[in-house]
Amino acid sequence: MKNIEIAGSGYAVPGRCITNHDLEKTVDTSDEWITARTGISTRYVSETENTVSLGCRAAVNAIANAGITPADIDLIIVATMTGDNLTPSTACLIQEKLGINSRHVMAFDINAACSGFIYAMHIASAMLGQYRCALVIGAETLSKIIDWTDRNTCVLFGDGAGAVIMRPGEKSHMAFYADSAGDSSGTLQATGPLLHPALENCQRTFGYLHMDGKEVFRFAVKAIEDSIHHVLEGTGVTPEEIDLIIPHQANIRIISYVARKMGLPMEKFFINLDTFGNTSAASIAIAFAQAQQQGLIRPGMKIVLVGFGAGFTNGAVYIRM
Amino acid sequence: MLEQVKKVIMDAISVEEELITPQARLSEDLGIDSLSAVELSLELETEFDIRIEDEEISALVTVQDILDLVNSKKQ
Ligand SMILES: CC(C)(COP(=O)(O)OP(=O)(O)OC[C@H]1O[C@@H](n2cnc3c(N)ncnc32)[C@H](O)[C@@H]1OP(=O)(O)O)[C@@H](O)C(=O)NCCC(=O)NCCS
Repeated sequence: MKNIEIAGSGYAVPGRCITNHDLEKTVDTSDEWITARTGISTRYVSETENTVSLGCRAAVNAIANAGITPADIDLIIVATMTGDNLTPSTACLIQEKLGINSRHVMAFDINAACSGFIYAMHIASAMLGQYRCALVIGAETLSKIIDWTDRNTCVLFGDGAGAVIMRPGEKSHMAFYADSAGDSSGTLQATGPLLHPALENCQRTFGYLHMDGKEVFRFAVKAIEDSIHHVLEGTGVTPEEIDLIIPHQANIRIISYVARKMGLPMEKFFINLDTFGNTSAASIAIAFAQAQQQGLIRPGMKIVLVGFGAGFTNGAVYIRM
Repeated sequence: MLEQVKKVIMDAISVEEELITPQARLSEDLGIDSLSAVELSLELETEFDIRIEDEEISALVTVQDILDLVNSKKQ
C-alpha cells in the first residue's frame, strides 16, 4: 500500500438540466421506463462549455478545497474520452487556464473510458515521489458523442467533471487495481477519425457512442465484483469492512445487483446517478467530491472507488482515509 | 429441476415462492423485466454451468421456458 492522501476534491456540471420528461419530447421513451431500468431522473448537458472548461472548474474547486494554490501542482492528469482536441491535450489547456504555464508541470490526458479516473489515480500514485502534488481530473462532454435520437443511449449519459488533489501523506494509504481486455466487436464504442480519404476511400467523421446494453450489463456486474476483490487482496480488509463504496454511476440496476450478489447493503454504495446520469470518466470523481461535501468521508474510514467501461477496462482504488 | 430453478429465481428477484409455477409468465406474473431477465440468466449460468445468449433470454415467456432451455443446454 502507498502512503498517499487526497488533500481535496471538487466537481462541476454544466448549467442545463435535462429531465426524463424533457427526453419524452424528443425520443420514444418514458420517465417510468428510464427510472425503472436505470434509476436516472436528470442529467446535465453542456450548451456553452467544453471539456477543458468543465475540467478547469472542477480543478479550481478541488484546489480551493485542498487549501493549496495552483502553483503547488506539478502533475496534471486528465481522464477523458471527449477531449476538445486531438492535441493539445485537455491537461495542457487546463494548465494554461490555471495560470501555471511557467511552472515545471507534467500534464497529459489518458483514455480508459469510464474507468479513466481510476486509471489516472493509479498512474498518479506511481509518479508521486518524483512529483509532489498531482491534480487528477475526470472530465467529459459526452453530449457531443451522443446520438440524441437514439433512445438506447441518450437517456443514460450526462456531462461533468470532478477532480482530486493527490500528494504523499503519512496518515492515509491506498491500494490500486486495474485490468483491461480488448474488445473490437463494438459492444461499447465510439469510433474516432477514420483513415485519411487519400489513403482509404472513407469519410473523415467521428461516430456516435454505440452500445449493446445487455452485454455491457453482464460485463459490468462481474467487473465491479472482481475489481473490489482484487483491490482488497493484500490489504487484510474484507468487503464487509468497507464503510463506503463509490462505484461508477452507470445504472442503479448494475449496482443493486452487485450489492445483492456480494451480500452488501445498498447503504454502503454512494449513488448520485439519479441526478447526473453516467458521466463516464467524470462519474467517480464527481461522486467522490460530492460525498466529501456531504460529510460522508471522514478520517479513518475505509473507502473503495470502483469503475468499469469501454475497452473493456475496469479497476478500483482502496483508500484508508 | 423446478426446485433448483425456483431457488435461482428467488435469489435473483424478490418474489414469493408459490407464485413460481411452470405456467407463471415471467413479465406479467413475476414482474421480471428485460434487465431482471439478464440477471436471472447470469444466475442460471452459474447454477447450471451453461451459457445463455441474449436472444434466448428475450425468447423466454414462462417458467416452463426456462426449464426447457436449461434442460436443452444440459444435454
Ligand atoms: C441500456 C439498458 C438500460 C437497456 O435495458 P435492456 O433491458 O437491455 O433493454 P432492451 O434494449 O432489451 O429493451 C427492453 C424494452 O424496452 C424498450 N426500450 C429500450 N430503450 C428504451 C427507452 N429508452 N425508453 C423506452 N423503452 C425502451 C425496448 O424497445 C424493449 O421493448 P420490447 O420488449 O417491447 O421489445 C441496459 O441494457 C443497461 O443499462 N446496460 C448497461 C449500459 C451501461 O451501463 N453502459 C455504460 C457502461 S460504462
